[in-house]
Amino acid sequence: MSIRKIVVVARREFAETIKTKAFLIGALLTPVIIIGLILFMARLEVHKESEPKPINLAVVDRTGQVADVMLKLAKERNEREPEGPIHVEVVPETSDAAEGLNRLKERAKDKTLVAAFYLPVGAVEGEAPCIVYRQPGDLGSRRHTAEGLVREAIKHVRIAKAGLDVEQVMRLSRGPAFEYRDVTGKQTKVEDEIAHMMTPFAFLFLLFMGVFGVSQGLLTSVIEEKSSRVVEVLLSALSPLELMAGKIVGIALVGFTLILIWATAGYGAATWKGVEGLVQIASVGQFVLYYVLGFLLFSSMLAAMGSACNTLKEAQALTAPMTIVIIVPMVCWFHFAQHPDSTLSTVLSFVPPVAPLVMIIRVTSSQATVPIWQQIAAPVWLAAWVVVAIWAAAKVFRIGILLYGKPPGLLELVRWVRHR
Amino acid sequence: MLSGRTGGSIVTDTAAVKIEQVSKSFGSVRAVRELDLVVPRGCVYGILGPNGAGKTTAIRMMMDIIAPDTGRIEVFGSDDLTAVKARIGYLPEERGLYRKMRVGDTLRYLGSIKGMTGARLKRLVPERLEQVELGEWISARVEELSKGMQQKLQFLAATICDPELLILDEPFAGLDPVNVEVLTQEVRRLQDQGCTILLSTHMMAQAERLCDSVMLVHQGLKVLDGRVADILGRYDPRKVILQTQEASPDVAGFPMVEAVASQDLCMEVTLVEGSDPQDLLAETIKRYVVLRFEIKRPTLNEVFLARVSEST
Repeated sequence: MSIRKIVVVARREFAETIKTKAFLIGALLTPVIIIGLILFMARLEVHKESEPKPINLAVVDRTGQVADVMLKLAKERNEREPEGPIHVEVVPETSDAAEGLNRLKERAKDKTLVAAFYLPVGAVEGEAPCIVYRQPGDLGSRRHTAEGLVREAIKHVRIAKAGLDVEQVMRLSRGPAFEYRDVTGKQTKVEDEIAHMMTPFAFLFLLFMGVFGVSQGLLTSVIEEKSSRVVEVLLSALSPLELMAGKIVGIALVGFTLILIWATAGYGAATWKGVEGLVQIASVGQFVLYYVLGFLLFSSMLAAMGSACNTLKEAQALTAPMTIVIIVPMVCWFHFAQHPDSTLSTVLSFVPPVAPLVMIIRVTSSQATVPIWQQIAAPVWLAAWVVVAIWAAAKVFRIGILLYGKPPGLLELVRWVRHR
Repeated sequence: MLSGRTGGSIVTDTAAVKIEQVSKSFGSVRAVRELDLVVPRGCVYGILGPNGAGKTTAIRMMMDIIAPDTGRIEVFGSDDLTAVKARIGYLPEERGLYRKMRVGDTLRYLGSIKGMTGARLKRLVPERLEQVELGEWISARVEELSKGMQQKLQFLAATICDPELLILDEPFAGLDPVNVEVLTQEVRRLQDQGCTILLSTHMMAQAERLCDSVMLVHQGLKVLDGRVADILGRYDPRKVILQTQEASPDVAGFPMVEAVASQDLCMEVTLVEGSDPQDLLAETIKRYVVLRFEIKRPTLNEVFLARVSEST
């Protein structure tokens, strides 16, 4: 095998791919989208902080005790926090319970209301549930504030009915304050926790796009060479293995370039948000390791499958099972990140097609306590599979690249691998 | 007979190509059967036969694109076909180019994978493109070229490495008469420079005109091979074109005549096997005024058809 020829093929593959519109869109548009999203979210954050909306709620109080307390508590809160004031609208009570409920339901249709509360007789004693009418799909904090007001008002009524000092009891029952710090002693916020949680996903996304997204380019390139019949000219100068190796190396470099651009944009955004410390050098090392192994595994399989097909449509049908398998870590990433030591996480770290993706989630997770033997055994096991995949792919590639007509099925490909 | 060593393998012969008992099957289809072939250096050698005869399979095995099931192939005396690839130019039957690639880049790339250096390609590419009047297209994309231009580019790609052996698989397919002539001249020019040319075609007339030696194949089997002149000489000239002043000379009754067919003003006379055409001429002159007497040589096509019918 000639290294020089592999380099020549890789250079052409790289040079021709980075000139395509698909590459330019992928390289430039993705960071623009990432930065755009961050800017958009930051703008939303500023908007939320500068202009808190009033919290309007309506209540039908059949207990006859809670509404007044709610009005009092709302007034006190509004004096304490004038921004985002609470407005309580007490809907007049009727003698007919059903009529009261209907009037509240009508009132709840008003989009300016955060929620409408129906407090039945027995609500204070906890004998009947309070009914809350809310806007569909609303999971926001304003509704929680409104519910908190009702909850606190009911507590006040209960304490007063028990003959206790409301102010004293409330003061005594108030929970302690917590201040969160990381292991270095730096004060942290909820946003930092979210960033920690999202770090494995960022690595997973980069690896998925870099491995699976970019290696699709190899599939297209192989099919193009086959359908344009240029492949026979190439094979008159190169061995099939040299051609395949050159193409894989070239496309791998395309992937590295893309990842470098995306990672630079991501790191820039992280620095801007002050969370660049989430990216450890060790994580970068692990990423490079799993990128190389994952890319070699996927690209050799895709090159083999591409060589057996005549059109992209045929190739997509042939690679569909692999595509479905590779989606698993994308769907279950949260489980792997939150439970990196679970049985499922451990087992899938040794299943070749998904192993690189599962491992990168596990080792970059803030919950990571991946045993050292697994950190060594998983890449070694994966590397062994890479060797097998390249060997099998070379056999399929040699046969498939010159065959035209009906594409083979997976079983036929296995027969090609077993062919001497 | 020379011997030596090339690329680690033993050189045993000076023939450009030597094939011994090579067979290749695809499933139940036997594409090539116990093929023997020797292509001497410096000649134009034709592998002839109808579509599906096994010509392309034989060529692909010579190019190490596919491996034979059995048998042995040597190129320039070496059985390490990978080592000699750089010395062979190849124009496959199914021709293709990268449509989006620029003309100059295409030649530089295909030259590079043949092992040519960048400096040599930098000098050769514009020079060769100028020679075929494509100089101004060096920066154009391949898809911008006309079909004829693309065919020129494909031929240039096959010959850019100045090959010692040029293999052309169905080179005349799809060419107009002008380009057939251009290609024929180019093959002759390369032969004059010492290049061995091996071509496959099903167009017997072209091969007869161009080739020094040929091999006829049918259903994967060699039907016959040898120098064109020898092959044609081996077959008795049994057909004569005859025209006399008299409109309908009665030659059918001559003892050396097997059959007579009228052709406009003349007739085609088929002689009895082993007869001498001179006897027919002598006999005719005795009775008629002869205006035309032409011994019709057999064509390769006729030889091929005759051999196929003999073997089936």
